[in-house]
Amino acid sequence: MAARERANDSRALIDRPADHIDNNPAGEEAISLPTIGVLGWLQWGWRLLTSMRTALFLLLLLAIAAVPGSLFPQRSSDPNGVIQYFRSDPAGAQTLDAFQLFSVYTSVWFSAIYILLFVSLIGCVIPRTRLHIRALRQTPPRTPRNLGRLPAYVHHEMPDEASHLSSELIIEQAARTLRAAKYRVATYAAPPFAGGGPSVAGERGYLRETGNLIFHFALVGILMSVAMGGGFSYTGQRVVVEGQTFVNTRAAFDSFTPGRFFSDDQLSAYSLMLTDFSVEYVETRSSSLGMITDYTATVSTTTQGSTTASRSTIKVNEPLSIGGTEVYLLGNGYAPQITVRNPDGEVVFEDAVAFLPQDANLTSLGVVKVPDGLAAQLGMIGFFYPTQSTASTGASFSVYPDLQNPVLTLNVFAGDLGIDGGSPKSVYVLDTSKMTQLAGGKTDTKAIEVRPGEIALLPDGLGTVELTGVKRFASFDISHDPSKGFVFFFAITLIASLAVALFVPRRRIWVRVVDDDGVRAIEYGALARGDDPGLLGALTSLASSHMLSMAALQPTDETVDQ
Amino acid sequence: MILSFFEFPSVVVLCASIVIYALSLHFWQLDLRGRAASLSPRRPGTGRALRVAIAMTSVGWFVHATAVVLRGLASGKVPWASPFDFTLTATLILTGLFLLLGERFALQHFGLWILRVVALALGFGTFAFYTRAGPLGPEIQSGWLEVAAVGTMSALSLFILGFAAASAHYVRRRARLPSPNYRAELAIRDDRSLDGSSLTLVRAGFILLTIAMITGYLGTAGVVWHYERLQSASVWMLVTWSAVALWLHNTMTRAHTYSDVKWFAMTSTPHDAPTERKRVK
Repeated sequence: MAARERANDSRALIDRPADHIDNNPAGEEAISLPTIGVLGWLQWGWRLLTSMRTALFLLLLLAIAAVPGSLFPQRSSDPNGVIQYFRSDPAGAQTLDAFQLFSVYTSVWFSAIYILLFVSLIGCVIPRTRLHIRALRQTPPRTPRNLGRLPAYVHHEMPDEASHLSSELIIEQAARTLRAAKYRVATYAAPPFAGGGPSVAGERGYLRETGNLIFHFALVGILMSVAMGGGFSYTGQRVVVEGQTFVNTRAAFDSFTPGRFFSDDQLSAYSLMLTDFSVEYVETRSSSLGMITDYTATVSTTTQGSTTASRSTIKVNEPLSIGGTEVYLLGNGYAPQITVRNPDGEVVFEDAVAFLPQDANLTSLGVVKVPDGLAAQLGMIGFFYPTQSTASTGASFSVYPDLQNPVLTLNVFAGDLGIDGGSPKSVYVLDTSKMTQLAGGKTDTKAIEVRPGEIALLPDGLGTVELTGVKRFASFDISHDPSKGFVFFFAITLIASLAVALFVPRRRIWVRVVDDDGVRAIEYGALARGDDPGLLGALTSLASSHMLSMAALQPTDETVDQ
Repeated sequence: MILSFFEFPSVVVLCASIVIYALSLHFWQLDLRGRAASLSPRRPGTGRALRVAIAMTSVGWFVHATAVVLRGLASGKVPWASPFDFTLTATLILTGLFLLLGERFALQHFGLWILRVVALALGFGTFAFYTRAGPLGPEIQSGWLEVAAVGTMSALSLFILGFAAASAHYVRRRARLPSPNYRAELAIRDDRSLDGSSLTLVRAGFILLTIAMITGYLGTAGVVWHYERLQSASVWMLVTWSAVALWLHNTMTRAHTYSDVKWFAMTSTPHDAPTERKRVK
């Protein structure tokens, strides 16, 4: 009987989520069906995926799945760490790599979790939006029979000053009080059962669900923007030595990662020249002496159509916006300017070679390749020490990152550089498999050691090498990401709607006049969606303001009665 | 601007504040004992011991704040980037929020507990993690990261206060058993309000954590992902955020009642706040 009443009262059900436990009045029929077929299974799967329990489980799984990313070195942030891992434990590293643990955030299993989570989220939120829009147009639900069972309940004996008022008038006054407290109100006449009198139902806090839904849409929005943006974005790196110019074309990048929908037309034409790169150190005598406090790259840029170059600066956390791209300053180091001459004194090589920093004091490693102009192809592996010092073992090292005592040492190899075939080779690696070492290492000849301005003889009378000077280089990360504005918009929406969803309470309050054998009393009952610490307080204060308003009502009513 | 001169005075002032906090512990304990003895929950803010405890803690807080300002002058930045700096500022925020919200959220019962945590954290942080005041590496000189760090510290403080309320709620429920051993626990105010306090504090903390996460990720854009330590701090931020989000869903939908998930509430405080943002390259 009670169940039928509930099923018939569609209003009580309508604003619940689709997966609410009470929302399946046809449950018994479902059990009697023997098979559900392919479509049925699909429907079952969709329901399972879009249930909140599954969404929460996936969220927890996502959090757990993100942990390995902080335990193992990741290719995205720490490629050297990965190489190190492979060196020290090749078998273990291979196993880990099979599970994609060195690139967790792009792995198949991680992607599977977040794609499922977002499908689940969308499947969860869209029906709820439909229900919420319907609920917005509905009147507050009929007063329940037993208000005493609600989580907050106040019972008032009929006060003397209200004893002469009709029950309808008391309820009308309660409706007014509720309306003043921003409740949406509906009054109901006395129900057919004994003891029940007229009642009023009030509901407030629809904004809570609105905020909640907007929060989840914003969450989906951020992810969608990032995903879509990823398709049209590109990112590339380029090392630029002081005085060099970078032109924004695909061939000019050292490495380039385009999005799926990228086309070369997207690259806007501009050029960027590194005019100066300066580093600020702590120079006062303190514990942090020599610590770097700032990198500043001064660049001069020219965009298409303009004839004048403009000067700007780039710092690590202050990228330069130009031509729809952001230019980030990532790394930097020294680029010794090396000139190699043949025995006749003709210049066969002249360049500032970027040396990669190996430690905090910028001991740097670089490779010089001289393919033509000498008796044999020449390759040199160089170490550059900005402030050289010698350990007791005789090994050189750098003690300070600035140029205080710069020294360049070169190990010399002659033979076949392996670049004649035209296949691309890294400029930072020297393939010595077809070369013989002439100086440095285990050979009898000492490695060549030059300071700025000095000239040294190459072994075997091949010629000379000169260190003409030392420049700095900067490595830039140039990226174009069209989703930025969208992500910013959704992020702001997300925070605002979250505050609304967490702090606007959704409450229903009912007031009823009960008649117990001629003795009247007023009952107040309140119900909240979810945990609501302030529910009882809100109900009590409403009840007392209702009482007060009735006392104020009295004189006017008496005049009406007379 | 870096005024290294202030580094030593900052430590001296900090030690003074630790001493004041430690002395206030005595009065917090007296207050708790008084509550237990009377067995009738007193109205908040009445007992004499409580007034002295609050006054002493407030004095300690101002001294502590002075230490933070001096430290800031000595390193030319908001102190947040080393484990010592993080402890120093996070405990300041925690004590400040405790003093500010204590009465409203029925938190004064665990003054003893909170102040113990603060005094121990400060003492341990100073002796174990002390780092000389110095500038930040260029990769973490960002206003956005400063917002993220302060947001994280505030969220952490709110979670700790929420944890205290949740624990007290649990203890209070246990104390309903008729046993003379629970006198002190019975002195804790009505458990419904603690239940609500914990929930509100964690909700506010969650909003701050969300802001911190967004500013931390988006404000630094591409830079963060190139620095390994920053990346691992971000990952733990995501893990913590998801855990709290999960817990909030539980309370909001009544999928479980609050008291069923109180253990989760107690354990979901973020242990791995991004304290490791040191200079990397």
